[in-house]
Amino acid sequence: MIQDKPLVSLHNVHKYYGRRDLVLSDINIDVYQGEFIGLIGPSGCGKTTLLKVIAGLSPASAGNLRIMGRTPERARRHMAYIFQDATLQPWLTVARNIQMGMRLRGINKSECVKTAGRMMELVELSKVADYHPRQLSGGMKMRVSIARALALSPQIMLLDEPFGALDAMSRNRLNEELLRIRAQEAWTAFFVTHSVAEAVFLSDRILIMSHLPGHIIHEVKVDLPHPRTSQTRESIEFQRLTVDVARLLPLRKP
Amino acid sequence: MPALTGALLIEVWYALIVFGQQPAVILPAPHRILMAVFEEWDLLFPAVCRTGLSAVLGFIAAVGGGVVLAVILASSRILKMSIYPWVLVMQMIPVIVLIPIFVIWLGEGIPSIIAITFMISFFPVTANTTLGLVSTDKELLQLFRMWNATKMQEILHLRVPYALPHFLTGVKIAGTLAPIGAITGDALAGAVSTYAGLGFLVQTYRAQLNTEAIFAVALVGCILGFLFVGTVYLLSWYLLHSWHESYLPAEHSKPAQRP
Repeated sequence: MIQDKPLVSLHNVHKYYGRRDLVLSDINIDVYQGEFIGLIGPSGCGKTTLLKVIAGLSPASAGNLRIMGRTPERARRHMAYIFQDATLQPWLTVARNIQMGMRLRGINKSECVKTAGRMMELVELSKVADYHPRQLSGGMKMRVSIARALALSPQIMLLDEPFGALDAMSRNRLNEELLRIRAQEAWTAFFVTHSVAEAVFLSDRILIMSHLPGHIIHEVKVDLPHPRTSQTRESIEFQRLTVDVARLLPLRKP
Repeated sequence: MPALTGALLIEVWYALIVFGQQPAVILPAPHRILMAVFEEWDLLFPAVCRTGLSAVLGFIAAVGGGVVLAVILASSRILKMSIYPWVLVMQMIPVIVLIPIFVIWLGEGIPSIIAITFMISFFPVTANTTLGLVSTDKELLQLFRMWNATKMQEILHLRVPYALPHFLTGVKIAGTLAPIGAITGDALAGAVSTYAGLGFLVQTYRAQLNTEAIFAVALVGCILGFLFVGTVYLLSWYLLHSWHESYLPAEHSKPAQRP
């Protein structure tokens, strides 16, 4: 899985808001194809900003950033972003929401319909294809959001606390579904979370960020075997890693 | 419920006439008003058609002009800061002052009435549509950027549908104002015998002290207003009922269970 040339590479990346407010400080990351990276750190430490810098939605103020050898803006076509809220278009049905990104990229209608159908099967939403978002639960909306992102066949998935607003049971179930889908699609992922257990369950590598201005203070490799299931969470190795990562989190800011 | 309160109001009305001993010239009985509608129908029907036409044309101008102005205001913060205060100033000028100006510019009759209807009804469309266009969800905008959407795709597939409920709120308010504007215009700028709308007719009945006919005009004017507003509400329902929260009945608002 690991290759010589990184898919995403950030070197000495800094991000300022305005002229003075440093949000990200000296970020250095190399991520290889197929890796699942968990990003964890205190609230407001710049995790979302880092994701938006990678997506090209918020330009870096300084440093070198290459995504598949290109600038983030040029590599956007190969990336998909999943927000904390499902961010669906309420006037469109589930099927039309999933098709929208493809339609805007000029993919023909029949291909859009076919791909959306396949994605709905993947996230088990075929039965609600004609529903509007208002009629769905929070977990279902998030699965629509995931299906919409996957429909564009991205090589890099940027997930910004996608399950943060869900209850623990839904979150665990969706974590398992996410890994099941990834086993079929094999994209590279950046996953922002506040939950240590979620980061350990999903990731191949966890990057721990400091308080503001955010920078990477620790890196933890997660060697838990795949496929990971609910039984994985009960394993001693999982428990040990969760405690280790929790201990590495920065203490409350004085 | 509305039928019940209506019936109660009519009872109170009759009680006022009987116990208050009000003469018909001050407060005519409801059945006399209905009779006046039939007696004056030959004058009322063409008048309501003319007023209705003025209201429709003024309303279309208000919606069209209101949307164009909203798009201009929403397209740039500098434009909004430069133009919006003057739009507000226009709204501050009392219509009664504008009417003679319109009559001087456009003459008496339908052009002035349409201009008055426009002036009364365009602002809610502009204000609401502008709000809808500038308050598009920021994350959805970022999502469209991730999809490399063009500006036109962003407007058509995101900003316009997002602004639709706001726009329709403005249209509903304009729909209630347009018939009032048209009747006001009839009364003050429609003094042409060949173009006598409801407002002109009410002036004539006032001169004749025909109170029953004045109430009959009020009743027909109400029905015109209800038809107008009803059509706008129907359009709003057609465009929003399948997805907008305000139209979903309580039992359907419950999220679906995991299939």
